Amino acid sequence: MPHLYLLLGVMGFGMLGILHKVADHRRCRPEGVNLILFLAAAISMLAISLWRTGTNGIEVPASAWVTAIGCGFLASVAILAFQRGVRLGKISTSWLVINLSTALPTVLSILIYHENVSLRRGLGLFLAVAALVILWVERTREERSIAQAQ
Amino acid sequence: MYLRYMTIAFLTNGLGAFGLRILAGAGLGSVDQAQYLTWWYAAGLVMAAVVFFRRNRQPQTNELAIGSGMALCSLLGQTGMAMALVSGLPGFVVFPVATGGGLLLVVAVGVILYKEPIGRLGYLGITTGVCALILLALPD
Repeated sequence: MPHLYLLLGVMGFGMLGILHKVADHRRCRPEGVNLILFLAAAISMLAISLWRTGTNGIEVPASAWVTAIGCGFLASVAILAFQRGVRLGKISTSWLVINLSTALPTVLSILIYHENVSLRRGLGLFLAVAALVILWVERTREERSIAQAQ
Repeated sequence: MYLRYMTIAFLTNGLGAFGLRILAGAGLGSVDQAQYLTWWYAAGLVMAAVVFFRRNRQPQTNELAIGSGMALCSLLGQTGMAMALVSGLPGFVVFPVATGGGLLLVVAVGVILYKEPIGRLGYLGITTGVCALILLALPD
């Protein structure tokens, strides 16, 4: 059973990426997809929150909701920019870039909270930067060859 | 233009995920994640609504279906990962497999179904990126 749950996790995250490409192929507007995504997720999360904590579903300390609001705004901008970007590029590499953005909180945690940089973390960050540089070089070459062909 | 959009997406997505660490740093690590995410999604919804209703009147049917599907997939992904952990699978298996597996699925669909051309450099970037994600996803 645990492996089935893990498979559900893999399929869920994978399908999320695939649906971004499907949205492009079905000519969905990035603004429309972003709106419905956040609407459905907000309703679902409110329901889960009320179920877990009763009537205090959305009562959190002020600093927590201020942080949540700031980060939620940024996340919405991220999905919108990604939806627009994926129309101009490949889902296979674009999805990798958005996944690699998880390296950013790691870097910020090290810089702001002076978290320990283990060998594994350091290597992970190094490879993340290397992957981004490689994909950037690949994309620049592609754009150059398209421009030359035109 | 593509690189500009992806840079914005990379930075804002990374910063958007930093909130939980800010909470932990402020001594609010005990705040229920569902409560935090309710505010997080609500703020995202306000932003999305402002952008959408500036130029559009109502969503199309395909946007309703695909947007809801994305929200469902996101919840299923998180739930699957949480349930796998609760039911006894160790974190060093769950996090890398969920992150790397999901990514490889997307790459496979992009290459096989959508016939996206990927050169040697592209595959090198993907392999390096998957290794990076697995290393970063492993719990301490």
